[in-house]
Amino acid sequence: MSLMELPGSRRGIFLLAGGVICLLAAGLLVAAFSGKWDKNPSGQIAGPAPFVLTGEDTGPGGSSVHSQPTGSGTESQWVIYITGAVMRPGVYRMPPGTRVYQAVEQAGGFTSEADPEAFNMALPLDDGIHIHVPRKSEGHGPPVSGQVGAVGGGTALIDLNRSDAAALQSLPGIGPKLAQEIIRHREERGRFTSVEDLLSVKGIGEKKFSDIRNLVTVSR
Amino acid sequence: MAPAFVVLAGICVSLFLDAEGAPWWASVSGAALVAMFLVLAGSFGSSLPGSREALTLIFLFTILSSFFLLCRIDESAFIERQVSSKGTILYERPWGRGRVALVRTDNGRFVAHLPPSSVLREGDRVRISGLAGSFGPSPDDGGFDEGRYWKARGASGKMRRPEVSLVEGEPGGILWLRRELREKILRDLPPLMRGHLLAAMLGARDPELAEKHSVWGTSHLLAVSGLHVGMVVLLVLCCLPRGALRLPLASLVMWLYVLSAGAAPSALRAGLMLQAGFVGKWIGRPVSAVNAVSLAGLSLLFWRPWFFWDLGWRLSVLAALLLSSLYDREFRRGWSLAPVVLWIATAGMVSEVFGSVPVAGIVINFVAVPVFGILLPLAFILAIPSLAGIPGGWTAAAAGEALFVLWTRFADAMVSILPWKAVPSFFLNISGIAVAAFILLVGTGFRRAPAAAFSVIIAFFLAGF
Repeated sequence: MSLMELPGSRRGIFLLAGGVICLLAAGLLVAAFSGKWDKNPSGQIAGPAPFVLTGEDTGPGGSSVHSQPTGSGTESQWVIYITGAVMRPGVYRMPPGTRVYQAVEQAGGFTSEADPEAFNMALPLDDGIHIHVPRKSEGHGPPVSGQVGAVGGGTALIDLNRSDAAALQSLPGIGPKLAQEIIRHREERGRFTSVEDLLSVKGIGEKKFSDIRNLVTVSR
Repeated sequence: MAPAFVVLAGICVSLFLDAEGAPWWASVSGAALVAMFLVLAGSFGSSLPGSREALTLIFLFTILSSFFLLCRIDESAFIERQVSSKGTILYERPWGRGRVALVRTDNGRFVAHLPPSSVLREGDRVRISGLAGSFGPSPDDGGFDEGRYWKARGASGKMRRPEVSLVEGEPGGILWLRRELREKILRDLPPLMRGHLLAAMLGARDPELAEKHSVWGTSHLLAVSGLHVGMVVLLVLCCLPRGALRLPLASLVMWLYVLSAGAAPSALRAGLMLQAGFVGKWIGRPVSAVNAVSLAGLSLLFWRPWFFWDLGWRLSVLAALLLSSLYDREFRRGWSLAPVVLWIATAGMVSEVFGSVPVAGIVINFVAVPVFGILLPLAFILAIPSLAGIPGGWTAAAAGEALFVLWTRFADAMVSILPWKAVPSFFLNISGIAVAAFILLVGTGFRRAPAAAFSVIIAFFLAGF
């Protein structure tokens, strides 16, 4: 006997019971997932789909293991983002202490368009760094904002999210007071998400920002 | 039962679950369960609505559309690249300590942050170059999500420290119309007339006026919504003689108005809803208001799923659904209490975003909607002589200004009598969700007793998480 053929009162009870079960099941789904998962929605990762090469899978003939990055490094791993003239741009997990040449190797090496001379291969990295490998056609000009990391000369970039007051004071035009202001901003409003966030620090205007924009970076 | 409402409710739950990190199958299951709940429990005390084929179609449509929208939301991020192109500024506004512009180029639409001293305006032809990339990650604390906000406005990425320079060429079409109107309104009208007409005709906000309306709890009057679009359509219908071309012409004028007013989510929702009504009239089928609103909300989500996180879309769809339910079903005697119902239903959402919501808004809104229903068209008529440059036109504009001054005094007096503000709280949230759920469930065919029980359960689930 189908639901439609049941007498009115019994059909009503079936309908109500079915509705209650569906609502509770939907409610349980909401309860199960609300605030308990840290998902990366669209737009979090620039560039092609990232993949991670694990040690045992990288040998000749080995296959790469695809996995979503967590977006932040753990104690034993750094997360490095590499773009530009490399074979496989993307986000990679690397051991602490990694240098630029190791990240380039992990990304499959240079493409034929890469300009290795515009690039310090020995530069030490840090967790959350973005490396942009310039192409020959891009010339040797200063790095574009957003292309922070191991571009240009051999000077290590100051990480706005990790550096202490002394390190910040090594930047041109940043004295003890402004360094404290940057640290206060970081503590009160959370981590810097881009170099441009410096503009919202009290005391840093367009002029000062343009002087230091290529000397700083933000780690995730 | 309103089929479009069933689909809309299912899709909203699946998008909510997706944003919480649920896998796609759980999000789609959530949509299917909600759709089944609305159909089954809504049929208690009556027969199952429609044929089995129709119900199957509704479930299938809900599941497939949820899946489709989840795919669109999670589509791969914009690939970072250098962009240098000519384009047009579609939208420009203050943003924090600087300004921001949405620029349409051959490579897509990009958001460009500009210094506070920028002189670029909507409609300007520009050359823009810079590194275009994706938006930053969504904030974990549920705060403002720049990416979702701009994607709902059609942006595909963000230009970092762009170089923007003006190039030769005037804008055409709607952009030209908006620019000309803005200049005339700013130049030829007194302050209150200027602010209200800028909002009603161009969707632009005068910060000082927006602050006043925020204190009065009437910010919705500055957003082009059903009230404004309805007034325009009514005016056009009154002016046109009966005939086959009456509704098509009214539609044309309505969409021209919606586009020239900036095509905000609330304006688009109202336009789509009225268009559904027109189509129903053309094909000779009565259109349920709840269904028409749901269809409008759904259409916007299909166009740009990121509207789901847009406060304008949420408030507009919720308010229109509540008003439609109050009008459609058993609440007609309670129609006069609509401002109270809307205040309770939206206070939780509004206070979460703006920090508080004025209690005086309950009383002021009883008067505000009918008053502005007359005041805005009157102000428009009184502004025409001044905008047209007719000698002495300023006198008519001054008369309109006096009417707005009277309104300001009334609203300020109400706020001084009822100075309290409701701040975000669990009680405000749960009562808002429960009231909204009860009215929507009854509006879509539920009996009152089960609707009351279900709305309490829904409120605890949604407010609790």
